[in-house]
Amino acid sequence: MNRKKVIRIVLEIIRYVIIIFGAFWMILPFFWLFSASLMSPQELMSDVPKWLPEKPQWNNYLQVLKRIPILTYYKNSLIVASSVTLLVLLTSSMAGFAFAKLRFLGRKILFSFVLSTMMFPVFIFLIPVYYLMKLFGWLNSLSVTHCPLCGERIWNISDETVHTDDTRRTVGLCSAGRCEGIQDLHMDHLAFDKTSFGNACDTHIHRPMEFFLVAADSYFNSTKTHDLARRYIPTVFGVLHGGDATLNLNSARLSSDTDGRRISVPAKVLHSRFCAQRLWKLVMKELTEG
Amino acid sequence: MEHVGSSFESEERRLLGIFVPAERPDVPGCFQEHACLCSGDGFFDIVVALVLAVLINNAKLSVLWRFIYFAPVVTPQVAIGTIWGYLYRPNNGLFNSILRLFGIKPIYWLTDPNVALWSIIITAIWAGIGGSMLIITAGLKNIPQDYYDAAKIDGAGPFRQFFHITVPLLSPTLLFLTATGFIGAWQVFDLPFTMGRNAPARSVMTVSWYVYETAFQSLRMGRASAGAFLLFCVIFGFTLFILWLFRRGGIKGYE
Repeated sequence: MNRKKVIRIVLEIIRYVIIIFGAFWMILPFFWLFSASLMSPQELMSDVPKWLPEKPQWNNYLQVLKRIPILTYYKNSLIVASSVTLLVLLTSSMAGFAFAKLRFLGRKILFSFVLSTMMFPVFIFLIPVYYLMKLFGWLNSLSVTHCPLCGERIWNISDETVHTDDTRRTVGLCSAGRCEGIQDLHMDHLAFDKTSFGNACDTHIHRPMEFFLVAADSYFNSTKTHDLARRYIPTVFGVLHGGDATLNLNSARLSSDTDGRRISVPAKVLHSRFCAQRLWKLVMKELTEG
Repeated sequence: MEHVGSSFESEERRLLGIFVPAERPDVPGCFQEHACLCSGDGFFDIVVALVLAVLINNAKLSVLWRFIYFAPVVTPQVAIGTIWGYLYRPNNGLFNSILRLFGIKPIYWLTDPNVALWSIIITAIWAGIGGSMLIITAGLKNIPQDYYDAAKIDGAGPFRQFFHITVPLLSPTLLFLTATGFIGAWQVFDLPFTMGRNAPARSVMTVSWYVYETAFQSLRMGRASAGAFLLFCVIFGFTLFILWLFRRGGIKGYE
């Protein structure tokens, strides 16, 4: 009996050691980023690893604000994120409502068509959308970043549609009994909301949040024109350059680093991930119900 | 004909003043790199996430742990790539400094062609654990406690409980994660792009990167479109395969 207790305690200790060890590595890059932002270039480049700066260089932050139009980047991000969020919510909740509640001819075909757009990789749309924007004469303008583009909007609509459709069906499923993977995911949303955003588990409360996160991350639009002027860069680049600037504060190459050359980074993995999740949720449901 | 085409190409490039890397990556090559990246990321991500999710499930302060592990998921991938690029620096990067403290030879994380891909996989795992962990946790919560109680009465230890109850009952969730993970990984771009630019001979080039570079830096839209379409075919085939797998796994999981 006593021996069993000892083994249990040892196992518990091992468990927490593993958890804390993992957590340490998860936090480390973030901690290092913050610490490095307060270091001088000499400290940063020294051979002996430094965990904390001897004298915090708060001036670095001031320099970033001075040298890089980072506030403009933030403004751009805010504009992109809020306009995308608003437009997507508007269009996709209408589409979602139509697909979920209305019965009309060709609903299934249309829905599966919308759904299938989620399977396409973003990179398939990259070139057509570029040409489309060229056709509209929107290259090198803020509308490119503002306007959630056709392909993207379809994605988002289908995303929301699936979700609306899904919520409706999940309610039915819940009462049916034990859950499948679909509900796991729904639970996942609940868990996520509970821990992160209070009790915002209602679709229309947490969706904007999610979209906002995604949109703020979506530097995709702005990059189809890789010669974009600096003022159209959303924050992700700002963060990139901000990070660089803090690190290479003494480098004279700063101005050449922030020209248009390094701005061309497309893709929005996070979003495709959300979309893929939705898709599989639906696929699983179709399979397990049928 | 071939010659005319290529000379025209170079002339076109000269006129446009575009720098084209001498060693142009070939499509099969980047598909191969990409497949390796996908499988490495997809597999280890799920294994690590599963172990951690089980450990954290009923732990004290589980909300805090989950929050910590989830933090990279809401961080932009470009930012992650940049931070890790600095951590991986060969001379004074954090990792090599730590290795040096223990007297280990420094590893050229991003510049050694044999290691570069694995460095990126490690970063991808780091960035992806949180999301997978949340989904697995949700799956874990759906396993009734009765099974564990019964197993305990029968004298099963934690390891047997894990392999005989948790893993089989989680199989739908795990399959789901495999599917979404692999499809997401086929579209990965940011991490290799931000971290692998110094890797020799483009040893970490992914298909999406190839498409991007061909289209918007070499301005070869046709070739890039072909690459993108090829990528679509692969993803489509893969999706069908996973669907088939799902059908088996999904039904088998509930019989």
